[in-house]
Amino acid sequence: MTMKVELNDVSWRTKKTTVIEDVTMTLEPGMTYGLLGRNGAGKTSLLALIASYMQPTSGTIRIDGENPFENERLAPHVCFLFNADYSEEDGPASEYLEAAARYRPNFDQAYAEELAALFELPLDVPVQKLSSGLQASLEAVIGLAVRAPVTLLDEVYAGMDAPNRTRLYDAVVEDQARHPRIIVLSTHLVSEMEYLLDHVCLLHEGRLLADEPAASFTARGVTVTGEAAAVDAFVLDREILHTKELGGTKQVLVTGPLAEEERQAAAEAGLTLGSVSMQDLFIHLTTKEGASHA
Amino acid sequence: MPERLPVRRMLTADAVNIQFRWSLWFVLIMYPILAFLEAELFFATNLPDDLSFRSFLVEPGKIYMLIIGIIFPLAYFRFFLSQGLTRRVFYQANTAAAAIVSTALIVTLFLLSWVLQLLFGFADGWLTAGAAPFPGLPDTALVQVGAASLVFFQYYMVGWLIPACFLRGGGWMGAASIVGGLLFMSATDSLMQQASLYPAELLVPAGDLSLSPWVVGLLQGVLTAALLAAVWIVLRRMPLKAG
Repeated sequence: MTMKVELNDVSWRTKKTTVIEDVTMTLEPGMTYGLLGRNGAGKTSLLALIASYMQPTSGTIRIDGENPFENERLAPHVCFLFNADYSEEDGPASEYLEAAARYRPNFDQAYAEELAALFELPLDVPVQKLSSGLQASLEAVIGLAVRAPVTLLDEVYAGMDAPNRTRLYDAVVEDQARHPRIIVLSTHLVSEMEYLLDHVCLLHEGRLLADEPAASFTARGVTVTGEAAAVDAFVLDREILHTKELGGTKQVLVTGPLAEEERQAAAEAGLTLGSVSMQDLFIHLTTKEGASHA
Repeated sequence: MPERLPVRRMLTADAVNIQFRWSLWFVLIMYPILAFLEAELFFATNLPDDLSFRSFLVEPGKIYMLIIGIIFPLAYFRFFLSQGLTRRVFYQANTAAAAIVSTALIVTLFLLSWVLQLLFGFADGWLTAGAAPFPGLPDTALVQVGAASLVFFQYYMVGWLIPACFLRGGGWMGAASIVGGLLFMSATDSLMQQASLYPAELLVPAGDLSLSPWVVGLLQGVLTAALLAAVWIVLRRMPLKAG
């Protein structure tokens, strides 16, 4: 089963502030999306809207062509997981898997147990007694084993340690290949997840700054490095996102991509062109000086 | 793959199961207290007969139902919605569960109370034995237990309404729901007791109400339907917080 998610001019406002503003985007089956944004950018709110935790103030959301809010057909096929507060939860982790097995039509119990073993997650220990990293692992196990056509993971991996995060990323890649669906990974820790993402949605202060394939997103930026005067001359008419200087050497991050003749001109001027990591681009596009260039 | 049960039935069963476990603790705590008092080991003279059923079963039972009405939806609403259920399914299933728990709890309390009556000198009485919790209604076990079951259910729904109002509309709506809940509970108690009780007497004249059981039943039905509608209206658009 595959489903398509469409958001059209979606806004969500509280009494005091606009949290999500005019977001239009489409999520296609079989794709892994990175929902990037700084703290408070509106990532959780956007995912909560897709998961029908609340309704948009304006605009429409459609999953498989239907409004998902209070939709009994669609609800079991949307899985939204986030860092929940387990401090009062005295049941073992196995109870959570049993609940998912009861209510989720595609839940794979054997795969859940396999993942739990992979993450070294004890299923018989009360969840409140697990470390925050293992609680996050439980969320990840459920998120993947539910195999919902629309899987929304909101920074659940943030509390996991590095080995488990790596295991999770590998599991996402493998399971996405076996059971293609929409997976949205929201994060502000971009560097280590970059290779997972097919598509990037960059949210900043509630607005969608970028919605494009990951390769095209990283091609938005090019570093130009060399003797300061030569660099200044080369970037004269370009949008500058960031500048670094060390002695007489200067490195400037400009918006890309560059045409072939521009690359040749850079080489003739003794300049080195480099690619930009998603993390760097994310930082520069979402800081005050960078956001105006997006 | 085994055939999946209808989701409402599964959720009703789960909600009943959890709340039965909580209720077992209530009974295990209340029963020895009641037995201790009934035995009158440390009391000089006879306690009033109505202590057996009315004061020590129905009254704490009502407060207990009010409390689990607050706690259960607060603790489990988001959990079950995160399992891919809708608000409507949760509302319908948990309302059914509340009705089942209300009935099961009062029947259990009633039977246990009767055992105590037999043990401690009320053996000549039959069931309510003149200690009916709702003196204005016919003193038969079926009517008294049925009325108590309805009151338990109403208290549960009032408990559910209050935190839902806080989450839906903030402090003022929550505060309004507390006032509304108090008036509602007082009104239904007044109908059951056939006497206008405070604070319902602010709305209706104080004194005895001489209503036929049929009129009481009809008014209770209207009030309960209004309460059920209020809970659903608040719940259906209640935003959920993630994180």
